[in-house]
Amino acid sequence: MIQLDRVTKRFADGTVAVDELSLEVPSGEVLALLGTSGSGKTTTLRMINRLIEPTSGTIMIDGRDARSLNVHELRRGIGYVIQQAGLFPHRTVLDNITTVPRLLGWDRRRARDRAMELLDLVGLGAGMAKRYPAQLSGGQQQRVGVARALAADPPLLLMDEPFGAVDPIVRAQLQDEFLRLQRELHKTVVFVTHDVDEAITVGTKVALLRTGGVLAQIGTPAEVLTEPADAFVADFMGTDRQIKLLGLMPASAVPSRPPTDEPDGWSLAIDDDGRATGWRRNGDAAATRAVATVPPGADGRAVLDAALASPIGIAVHVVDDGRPTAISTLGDLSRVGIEPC
Amino acid sequence: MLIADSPPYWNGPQLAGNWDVIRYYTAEHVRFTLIAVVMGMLLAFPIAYLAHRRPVLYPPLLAGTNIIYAIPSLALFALLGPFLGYTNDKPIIVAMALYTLVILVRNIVEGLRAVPAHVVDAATGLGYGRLRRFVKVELPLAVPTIIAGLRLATVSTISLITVGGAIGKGALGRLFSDGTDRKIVVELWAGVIAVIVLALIADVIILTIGRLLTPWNRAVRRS
Repeated sequence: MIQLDRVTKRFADGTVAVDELSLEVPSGEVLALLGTSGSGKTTTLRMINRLIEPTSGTIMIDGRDARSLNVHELRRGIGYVIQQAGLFPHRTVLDNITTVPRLLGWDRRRARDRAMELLDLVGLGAGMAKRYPAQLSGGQQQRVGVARALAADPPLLLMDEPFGAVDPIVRAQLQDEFLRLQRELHKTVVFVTHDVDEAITVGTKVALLRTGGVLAQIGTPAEVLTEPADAFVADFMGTDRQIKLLGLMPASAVPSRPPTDEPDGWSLAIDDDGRATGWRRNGDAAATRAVATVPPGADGRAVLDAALASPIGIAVHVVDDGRPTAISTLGDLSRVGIEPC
Repeated sequence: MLIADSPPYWNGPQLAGNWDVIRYYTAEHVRFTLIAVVMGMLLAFPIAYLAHRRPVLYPPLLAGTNIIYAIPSLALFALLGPFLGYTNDKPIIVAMALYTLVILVRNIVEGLRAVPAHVVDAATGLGYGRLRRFVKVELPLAVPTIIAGLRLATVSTISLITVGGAIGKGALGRLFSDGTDRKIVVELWAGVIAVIVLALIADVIILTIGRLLTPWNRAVRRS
């Protein structure tokens, strides 16, 4: 658990980077610190592992004042991942990952075994162990950066725009992998990003900071999207907040009704295999309209997409063999975020 | 005893029979160079560390090394004489060590400055103390630039030592001055060639050491 209590950072030139910030990150949660440059999000992160000392306020880590701890020991107990990975170019992947275990005095063999385990955990083969960072792609470097941060199994993880330097496809992969790891490891994470989509994807909570390090709002991604505290939050989260909200939920969580329901008199024509072949109004076979389907496992945006693609505004949820299980109308979609789902 | 201690003397106008003389002065040249360059490195590291830690001090420290380099060598030998004596090898060796600073200090500082900020940040964030970070992360990454400086400093030292020939302390430079005084062209050329060969060998040795110290650069070049 990380607690910030009225933390302020005023730099020597008088700039206030973080202003009376109070936050709490309960154990096992991921707090996405979101904001533009100049919002003090990186400064906030760096105050937690004391790369920057706060001007006033206290930071408690698992109930202990960060300032009361030896600074090097504090840092060795907190995983740290940064943009561009910050890998040591003169050390092999293996030696990069064993950095903190070695600083903690583990013997070589134990540190090595742990590193091999982590390589596997972050999805890199054992063959990568002897390579140098410059021989890896950007995405691979970030994976090593994550493995290095996790090496000594610290309960806390600080991530400063960890996936900011890779292309969007690799970034999405890394986010997925991060979520998979997090489900397994339950670390307490502070994740700095300027990307709204990334924040709502990785965060169990999102804290949005405005310029000068003032907290604009903190809440679950759904709360921040559906109940923005003010115009700044609404504007920052974007004009597509409802669509983003849909992106956070599985298609099955979107309000729906049984396929036998007949909205506006439209009913599904079903073939011998149980698949929907078209929409008919009031049973009129001459006026058949195309069916737009939502595949299983898709997110809520796929439902909206199918409803918009459908000439009559109805998305059809199907299972693997194509049989319809439910339908969602545009009206159903508009209830997302208003009704609890 | 006196005879045994005095340096060998070039006999006749030819090379034959004078290999001992070349060998003697080459050994002396190597000894002067080694001591001077090692001393230079030992002096340069703390100065460079200070300049790196306190950037305000970098320009004046660099200016200091420049001023030393601007002192003509014969004048510097004379200046060092009262402290180190006039008849021994110390003034020339110390002078050479001081001259190397102009290259070594700059290259060490620039090498340290070229270490990417995010690498230093990561090292600090992972829990390295300042000294350990310097030795384990910053210094190894500065090695290519430091080696480049060391090569230049060594080669220039090998060449500059010969100036000492004018005061009878120039190692292989003695062959130039003696060859010129006594109009022995072969002796003069023997000295020149020996200095060039020595400089080339020293350069290759340091280059090789540099490569061995930076396996990551070789690995990246290979792939």
